[in-house]
Amino acid sequence: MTTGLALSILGAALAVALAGIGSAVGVSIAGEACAGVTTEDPKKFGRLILLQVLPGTQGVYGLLAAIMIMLNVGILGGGGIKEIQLSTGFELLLSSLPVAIVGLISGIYQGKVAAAGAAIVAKRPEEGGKAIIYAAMVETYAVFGLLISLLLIQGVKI
Amino acid sequence: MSIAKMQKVMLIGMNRQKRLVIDLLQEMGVMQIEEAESLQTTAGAPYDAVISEYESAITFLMQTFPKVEKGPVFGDCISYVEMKKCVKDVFKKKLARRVIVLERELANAREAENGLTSEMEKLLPWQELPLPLEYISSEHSVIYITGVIPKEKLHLLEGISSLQAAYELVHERGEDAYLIVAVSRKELEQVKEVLTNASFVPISLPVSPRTVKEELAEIRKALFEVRRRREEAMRELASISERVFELMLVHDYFMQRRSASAVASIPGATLYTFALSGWVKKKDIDRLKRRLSSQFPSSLLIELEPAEGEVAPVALENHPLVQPFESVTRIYGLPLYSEVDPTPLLSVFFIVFFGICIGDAGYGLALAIAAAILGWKIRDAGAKRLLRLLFYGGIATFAAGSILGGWFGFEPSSLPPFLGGVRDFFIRLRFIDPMRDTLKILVIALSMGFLQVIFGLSVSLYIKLRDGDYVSAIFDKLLWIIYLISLALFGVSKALFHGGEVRRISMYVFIASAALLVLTQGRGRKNLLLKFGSGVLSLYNTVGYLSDVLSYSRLLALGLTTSIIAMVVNLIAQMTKEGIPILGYIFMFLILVVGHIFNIAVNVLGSFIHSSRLQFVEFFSKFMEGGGEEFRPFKRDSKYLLIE
Repeated sequence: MTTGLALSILGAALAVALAGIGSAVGVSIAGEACAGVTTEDPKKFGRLILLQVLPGTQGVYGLLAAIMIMLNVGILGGGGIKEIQLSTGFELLLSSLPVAIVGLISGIYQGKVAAAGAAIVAKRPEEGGKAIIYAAMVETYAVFGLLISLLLIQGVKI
Repeated sequence: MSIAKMQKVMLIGMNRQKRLVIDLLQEMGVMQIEEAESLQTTAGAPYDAVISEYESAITFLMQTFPKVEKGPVFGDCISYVEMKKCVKDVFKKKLARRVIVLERELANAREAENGLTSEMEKLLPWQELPLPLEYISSEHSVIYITGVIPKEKLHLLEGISSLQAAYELVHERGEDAYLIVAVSRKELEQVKEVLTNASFVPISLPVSPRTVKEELAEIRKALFEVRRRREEAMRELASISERVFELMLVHDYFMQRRSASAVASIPGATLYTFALSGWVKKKDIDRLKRRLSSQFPSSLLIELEPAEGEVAPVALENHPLVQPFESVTRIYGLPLYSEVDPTPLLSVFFIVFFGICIGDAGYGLALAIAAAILGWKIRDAGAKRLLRLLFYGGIATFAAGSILGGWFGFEPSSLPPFLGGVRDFFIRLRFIDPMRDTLKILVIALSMGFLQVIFGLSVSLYIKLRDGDYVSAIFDKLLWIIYLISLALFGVSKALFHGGEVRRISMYVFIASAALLVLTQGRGRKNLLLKFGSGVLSLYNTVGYLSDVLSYSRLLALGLTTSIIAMVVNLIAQMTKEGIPILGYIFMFLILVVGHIFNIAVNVLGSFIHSSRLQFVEFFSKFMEGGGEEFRPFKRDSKYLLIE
């Protein structure tokens, strides 16, 4: 295995791991709040689960970036692993950073907003849609991180 | 545009007809009556007891019998006349009271059962004791102690035979030995010490003239009786749950009576007449007047000018095709009465964005079919509206997906060949490959964003013109529109028109409009320097508009998300098919179904949220403030039933 390939794998690993951690923490923060509301009124489970999974998208975005890197270097998709230069490896590693870093942090903060939104669902369930929108505001930046990571990964020529 | 015009009215009638007039108003459901909401609590009191009784009975039945739960959604319709006819008979049956009695009985039985079972558990090891329990507990010169000891410590008890005591093993269970120890009163203390050292735990048995065996037989009999009672209660509840419809009927009827009595309790004007004021849609006024004058000739409906600072309630009125989009508007909140209804304005943008965000033709078809089937089955109005919206979304997704996406993650060229010409059509239709021409889609997304921002400003321009605020219309809106369009044209002229005339003209227009903005944006200021300063500063808003447009790049990102996940699902499915012999096909099938359904669900949620957000933040902010009060006419409300 060349150092370049190793760096690309590090990039993929960081994207999945950091964004995944962000989502895991976020989903757990939201989940705790939602569970509290469910003890009072189990019928709200459906609305609450929607709120809880919102911070989970960062993990998916990290996964996407990782898969794009794996496709790019040939780990996935047949055709065999390509020869990766050291500089190319660095490029792919750096490309993964936007989604990894923003995913980590925005996931946690989105979880907090979603947890606060659980209170809306508890007290005024008919306004539950607004809670979802609040949480989605945070997600915007994870979407941008993903967008740039994807464009960068595609732009790296092997 | 489609906010219903409201008229403030006052209705005056004779006190002796009050009840009937109010019934008519409730039947027509066209008038929002002032103060009615706030009086609901005090005036409704006599009905509250009945309503809450039925409510708790219905809730209990719903929790106990899961099939009752579905009631309201797939529920039956009933006409009001029918309802009124039945309600008296049903009410006489006092079903709700019966449910509550049975509920209490059930709880009692359960408690009794628990008590008896634990009693039985306690006595079971002592079955072999031949003495009546009374005898054991009574104090003679010999005292009996019952208790339990770990088997391996039994040998420690050897010592007590030297004292005046004896023990006997009654029962063994697992590691435990149940003992009865007979002790002479004199040496009680010493024996107790030996017992404690051997980890003996005393168990006190109940006092009774019977032996343990007889006692157990009694308990079994009681237990049987309790269970029979519980089952009986359960059976009766089940038979009532078949008729939960009747309970709902009474509940809803009394709910309507309560709101009517709240209206009736609004203070009357004089000894002989009463007055109600409120809001009616302008188009309903004539109908209301006709009904009133034909049934109650002595009543009078006066049209009033709203008082200073009084704001009319808002009712959205849209073409049935556009109505589903009201769900989106409602998440944000209603517009003010003086603003325009954004629903028809956002509809096309919303659905196109939704389609691009999912961007897979196969998913679009699946979503449209699922939403159509569910929408056909469900009768709840709110859910139906949302499903209709998802149906549109499915169609839009199909369209967007066939132009710039895939088919369940595959290229259109992998559509089944028997489709022939249709397949060729879709291959030619898909002129952008999202994975290769990513930038093209980015450009499309941003231009759509630009279009919507300009459209939002134009709506604002229209509102200003409509309200006669021409200065603001021209300098704040029109000038900005010209400024932004010329800036954009200047920006893209090099790529699109190779510079030339377009570039030159747009540059002049841009400079001119920028200069005009600098000169006019500070017109509110008195100080000349401040005028100029805030004029220059206002150009900074350009950054705001730029970030608005950039925000639409999410359309591309979300579209890519869908296609990549779909691709991965297909990849994993293929790997399992090749990796596992024979069973591989089953796993492949499972992975494909579960994976794609997951992907659709996640992306429908994401697309809905992000497409809504673009409306709320990037579009609404250009022309509306929101915060209108919803029009809530006094009508026959119901919680459980659909009443026609």
